[in-house]
Amino acid sequence: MRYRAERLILAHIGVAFATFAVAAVLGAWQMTVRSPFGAPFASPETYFASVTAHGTILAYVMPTLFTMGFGYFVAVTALDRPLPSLRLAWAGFWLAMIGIVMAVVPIVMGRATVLYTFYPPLTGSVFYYLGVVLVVAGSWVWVALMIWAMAAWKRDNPGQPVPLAMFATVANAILWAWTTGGVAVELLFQVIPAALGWTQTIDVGLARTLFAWTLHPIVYFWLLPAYIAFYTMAPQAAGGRLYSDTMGRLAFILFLLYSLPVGMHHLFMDPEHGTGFKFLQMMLTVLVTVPTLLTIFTISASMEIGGRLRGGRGVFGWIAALPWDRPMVLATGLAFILLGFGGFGGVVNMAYGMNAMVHNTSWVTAHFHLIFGGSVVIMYFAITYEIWPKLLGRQPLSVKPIRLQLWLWFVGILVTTLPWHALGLFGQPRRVGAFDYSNPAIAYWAPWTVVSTVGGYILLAAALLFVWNLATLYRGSHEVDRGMRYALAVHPPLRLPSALNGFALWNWLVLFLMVAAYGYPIAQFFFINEHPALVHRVDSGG
Amino acid sequence: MSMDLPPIPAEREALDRLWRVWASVIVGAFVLVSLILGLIVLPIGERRGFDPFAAICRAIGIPGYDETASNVGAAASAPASDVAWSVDTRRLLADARADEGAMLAQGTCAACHGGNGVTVDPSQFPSLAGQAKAALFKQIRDFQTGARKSDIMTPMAQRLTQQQMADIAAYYATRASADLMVAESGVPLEISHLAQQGDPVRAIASCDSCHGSRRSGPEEAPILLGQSTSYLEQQLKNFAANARSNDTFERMRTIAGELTPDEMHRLAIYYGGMPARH
Repeated sequence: MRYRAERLILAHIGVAFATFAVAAVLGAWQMTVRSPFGAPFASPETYFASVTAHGTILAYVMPTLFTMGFGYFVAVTALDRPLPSLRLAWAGFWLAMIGIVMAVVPIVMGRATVLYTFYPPLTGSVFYYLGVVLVVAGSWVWVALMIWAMAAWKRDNPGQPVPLAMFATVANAILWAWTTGGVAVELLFQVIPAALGWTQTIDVGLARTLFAWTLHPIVYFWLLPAYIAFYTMAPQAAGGRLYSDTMGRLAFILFLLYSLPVGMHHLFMDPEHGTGFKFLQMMLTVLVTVPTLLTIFTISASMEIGGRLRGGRGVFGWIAALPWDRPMVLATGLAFILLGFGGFGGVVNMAYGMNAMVHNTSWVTAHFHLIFGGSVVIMYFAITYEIWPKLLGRQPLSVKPIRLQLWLWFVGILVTTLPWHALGLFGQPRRVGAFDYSNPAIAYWAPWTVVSTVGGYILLAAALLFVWNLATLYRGSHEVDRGMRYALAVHPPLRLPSALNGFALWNWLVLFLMVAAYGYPIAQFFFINEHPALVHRVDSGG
Repeated sequence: MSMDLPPIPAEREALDRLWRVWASVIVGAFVLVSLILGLIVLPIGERRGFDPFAAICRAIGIPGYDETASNVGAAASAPASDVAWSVDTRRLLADARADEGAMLAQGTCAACHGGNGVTVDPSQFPSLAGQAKAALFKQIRDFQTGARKSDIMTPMAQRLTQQQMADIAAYYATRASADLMVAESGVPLEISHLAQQGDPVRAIASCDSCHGSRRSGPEEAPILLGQSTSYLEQQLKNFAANARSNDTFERMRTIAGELTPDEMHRLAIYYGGMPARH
């Protein structure tokens, strides 16, 4: 690390995980409320305020700050040059900090209990929404800096391929810029005017459509840092090489294209849209599986190179030969298993018919905890274990607690989410905090909920152990090698077509896809369908 | 991201064009095929006859092309009440003047409901003090239209304008009600459970979800606490017997129909309340 961005990166990732620890405590408490045990301080007010805080932190704060910090890290290490403007980066950070405080205070006061998805016509304190807008605005600074950094590098290195890690980071930055459009319009033109009392009705159909525009690609924004680690860090840690650099670029481009025009699969059961565009977005959703399958193939092949170089033989012998004691390799393996379960569930959600069965049940909550909490967050841990020592210049005292932490998280996620999926299939509704388990009709849910709650506490233990592991690093011995090396490809690219080295073409195609997928569904609200609902304030009592 | 690059070799440019063309063709073709399937093939496949225009209209949700939609509603029953919680109604209530309402109330309402909203005969007439403004307004309007029947109230309400009804509602909403709490100790555990949790097996939502002190249910749900036991019980019986039918979406008729006479009695005791501890 030579470019004085250490404090910037530490601040982003540090705040991300500090809020994460709070959210983990809230999550375990919520599991307890939902279980037959009952929990202290449980009431509808506290439960839903807690769900709002948990969701707001884990949807808007933690992944955004982590991705920003990791993006800055990639920009200075992969491009091997300073950030275009460190001052601007800090400005973005402080904007987000102000936003976090503004959003959290009304939640704690019980004046913004609208859950992180807002659910208009529920309307809470305007400071909550403004806080979320500021966090997003802070991240837009990051988007601009990432694009600027890549453009400046390309200007100074004409015709050279942008390093894959940076190319992927910019793909994520551009994806995020597109993603936030929907929620920004919803907040600025619908929800905030209502929260200020300027409007007395809110078109819920339009609000839900705009939120769906954001709600799916935001998941891929969270996911892409994990994929960046798969492609550029895991093969290096395994002592192998990246099987195909081109495949990596294609995968990130496909994520940019096909995570955006698909959000309406969150609205399959909504009445404000006809079947035609739901069908189109379902078809586009299917394509999101392509980059994931490409990735599983490419990374498995890359790991196989590592395993065989280490002396692995036979069809499966290379797997045993991999250095599983290294956190990055272990986390990648565990993340793949979780991705397998989660991907299967995702295909169920995406299918129009099966969606009807799981809609609004615990299945959906379990699904996104498995995919995001599981595959993605475990990679956030692995990335942090990899880069935190380089930022501090200190080595961990021992990798044992690190491995224990990753295993605990993996087991905790499975124990939490698999029974939770089952409960959804039994018909347990989501967004409900209290169940009467003495009622014979649902009494058989109780044991499943208990297992799931135990999983929640394993996750809490793993989350706290993670914070502890980072804290003990400050006592570690000095790290000699602070350079960051990303995985080399088997055939490193020498010359690339513009399409694989920039995003101009893909931005046009995203625009085309967004107009095709959302043009009519949004326009219809302005000429045929109106769904005005009366604003329902949650912050004025009564 | 245009920038000053050295001249691009011709073969690079040819390669870039190839990417542009093929990427656009593949993406465009996929969208086109999906749209043909989603807007024409599938909607037609569900029905007989080839009418692509109707199929597209159906698929994008234009009203009037949906077969199922045109079949319902032919013999729709009259709505339970003509009060709609529109912006206009809410504005009417928000701008209502309690002082005007006070004048009107002293002349007529006070004789039975009391000058300050405390009833002169709890068994017959409800107390209005501190009642929700929207609930009061809806009941007066329903008496006026006959949606809720009463030989005493209907003639009284028929003389009032919308504005006057809102003013009266606003007046009684501002009157202080007695300091009471629910009579939890006066009923068995099942009854307070019913009030707080409902009974999903009988599809009974908890009473408190609409009538609780921190309710978030329908706008017009009245506050129950403090009415007389006999009045509350009578209303539940009326709903159950369809003698009172101004509840929107038949919510109360559905719930009361599931309650046993004993439950109605005890729920009425529960919400009749008792003095709050100090």
